[in-house]
Amino acid sequence: VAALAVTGAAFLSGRPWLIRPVLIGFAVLCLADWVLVEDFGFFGGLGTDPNSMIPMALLAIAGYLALAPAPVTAAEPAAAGAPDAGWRDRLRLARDRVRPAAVRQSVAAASIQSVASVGAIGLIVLGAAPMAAAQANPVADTILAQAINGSSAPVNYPAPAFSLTDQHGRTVTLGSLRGKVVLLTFLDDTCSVDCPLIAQEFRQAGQLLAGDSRHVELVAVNYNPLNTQVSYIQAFDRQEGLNGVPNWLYLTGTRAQLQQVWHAYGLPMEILPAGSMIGHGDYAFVLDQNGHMRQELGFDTGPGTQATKSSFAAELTDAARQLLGHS
Amino acid sequence: MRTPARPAATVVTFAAAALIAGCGSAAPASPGPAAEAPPSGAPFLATSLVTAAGTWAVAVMGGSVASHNNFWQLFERPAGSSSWKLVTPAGVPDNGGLVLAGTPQSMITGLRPSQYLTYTPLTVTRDGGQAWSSTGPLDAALANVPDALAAAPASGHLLALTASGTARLAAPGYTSWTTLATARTLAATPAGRHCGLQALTAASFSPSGLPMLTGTCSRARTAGIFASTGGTWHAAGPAMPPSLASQPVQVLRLTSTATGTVALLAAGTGPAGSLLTAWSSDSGSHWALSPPFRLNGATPLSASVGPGDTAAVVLNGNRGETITGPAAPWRSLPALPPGTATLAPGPAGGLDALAVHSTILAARPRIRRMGQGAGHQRPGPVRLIRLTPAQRLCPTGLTRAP
Repeated sequence: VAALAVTGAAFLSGRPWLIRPVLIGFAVLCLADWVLVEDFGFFGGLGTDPNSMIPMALLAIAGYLALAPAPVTAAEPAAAGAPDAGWRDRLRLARDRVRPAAVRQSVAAASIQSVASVGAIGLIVLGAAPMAAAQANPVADTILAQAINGSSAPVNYPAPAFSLTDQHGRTVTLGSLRGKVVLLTFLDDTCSVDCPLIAQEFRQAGQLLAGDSRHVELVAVNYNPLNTQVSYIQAFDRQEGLNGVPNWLYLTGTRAQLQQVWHAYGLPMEILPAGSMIGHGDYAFVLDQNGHMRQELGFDTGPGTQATKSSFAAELTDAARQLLGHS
Repeated sequence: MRTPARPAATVVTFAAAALIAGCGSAAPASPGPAAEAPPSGAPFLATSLVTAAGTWAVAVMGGSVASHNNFWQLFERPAGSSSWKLVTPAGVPDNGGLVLAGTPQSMITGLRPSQYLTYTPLTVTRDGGQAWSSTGPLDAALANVPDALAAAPASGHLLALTASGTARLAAPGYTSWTTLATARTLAATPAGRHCGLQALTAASFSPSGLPMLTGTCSRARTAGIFASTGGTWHAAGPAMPPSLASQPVQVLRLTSTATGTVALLAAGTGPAGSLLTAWSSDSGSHWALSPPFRLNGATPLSASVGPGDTAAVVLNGNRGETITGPAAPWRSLPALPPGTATLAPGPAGGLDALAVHSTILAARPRIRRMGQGAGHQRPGPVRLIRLTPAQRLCPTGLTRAP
């Protein structure tokens, strides 16, 4: 905010001797923030919007270019016999322009505007080209997600069966979900950190699936051995706005039933003392229409930022669509 | 000569900026963290409570300016014992604070939500905190006050005051909650209009089981205490002494004891502010008032009631005051140990000062990051020092090793 204010004030002053150093400083700040804070999370950066500093710098440069006058190129005297110059003459002229001495002379004579323009173009290429390529790629979201989260493990084996109770009090078995793709996760109903975010990923995946969502069940199994009542999973659903999602199932059971499921899926759980939440990991599984495990996604591979987790909705959606036969 | 600007370069650069700005990764549609409690309210949650099973005390630890790095601990000193033990319910995050409601047979703990949690898990113990079982939950955030939860002594009904200013009632099991009153509906009653009710501050039951609520009144010399009889709310606060006629009154605490109801009142503000304790044995029809204790600018940090008519207040500056009943004067305690969170009745009529020894947790954030396994922080040591109103005794130790 301070940098923006200083930059804005410099622009408003309209004095080139002030604008130039401020602009250079601001551009350096933007690049440092982009690389160090947003991308690598130095100094506590959360990486929630990894590209915001590029447009910020470009906007400042654009503002400078809008304000700064362009140099007027003096009209060159017409070369003698130019109209009649042949292609050999034009070639010689071009060759002269790219000679090292000529290039050095051009660079030395370049104005700050020219340098800024070249920098802006460089940033455009640097920042926009990969993103444009990603936009053009139909599976870019998944690729990006996997780049952040790590690749999931493609598998194919019967998923462990379960028989639990959903948020409406109805019994749900794995067999009863046959014919649908199941996106499965395990959520602690009193978890205050990760689980609400994962729940939102599932909710978002349901939205991304759009018309395909009727062929997909979003299923969570309670990952809390202490608060196993239906009233708790209902409270969690209301908290997350999931109680109106038609293909959302949040399953619970007795502590013994739940422990059996966690064990069958190989998930650790620990009751931690004195005010700590339940110790557990964060997992998601993709099951095909025959109840076979097809992907195991570990939420644990990322650095734990909003950006990391926000990519899972795309990955889950893509996995479901692949199993539905259209990617 | 004025030279032309560079419209083409400018347009291209702006367009590139807009293009790239749209490429930033979006945050998920998360509801966002729960609203954190105001900092001034959090320490006041520290309190103690006496039941047949023993004495219970709540204290905050951590000390970070980030409230999600604070966590709360519950201690119990069994009846007849001189030792305190840690009995905080396991497996539930308690960064938002603990609120107690005692019945003769059990102790119910409400775990105020924090971060992304927005509802209130409830746990109950019937064996002095050795084993807890889940109950509830309350599908709302408990208010950030020590009397946000109250249990009816006979029926076991729970009365909860939520952060949104709603009083809700539930029968044992505590899964179905009904709204008893809101600040708005109570303010619209004759008693509420007379008080000029602004906000609710505490919930309790009278010894006979009547729901009682307290609030902040805009009208001076009116203590906003209300009782519900047959579904009708009526004023049940004490008349303030003439010396405090022009002072606004805030009800800081409203607690039921085995013998009656005890209210802690703050009259006036700033250097002219005073504390008063009021006792009633008949659901607020009649009150006995303590003499005012002039605060001289001090701030109450914690207040505890019991056993019997005793009230004890921790003030800033390591000061403490106690009063044993309507006919007794306020008595200053010896200088409290630094970091005293609350005072609790000790054995043989003394008081225990529960002092958080250090801010060791600040260096050990409890919030785990993804991929780092289970979230767990270790509590710092707690030092308990037994005090009597007349003299300070030697420290007696209960220490949880980090």
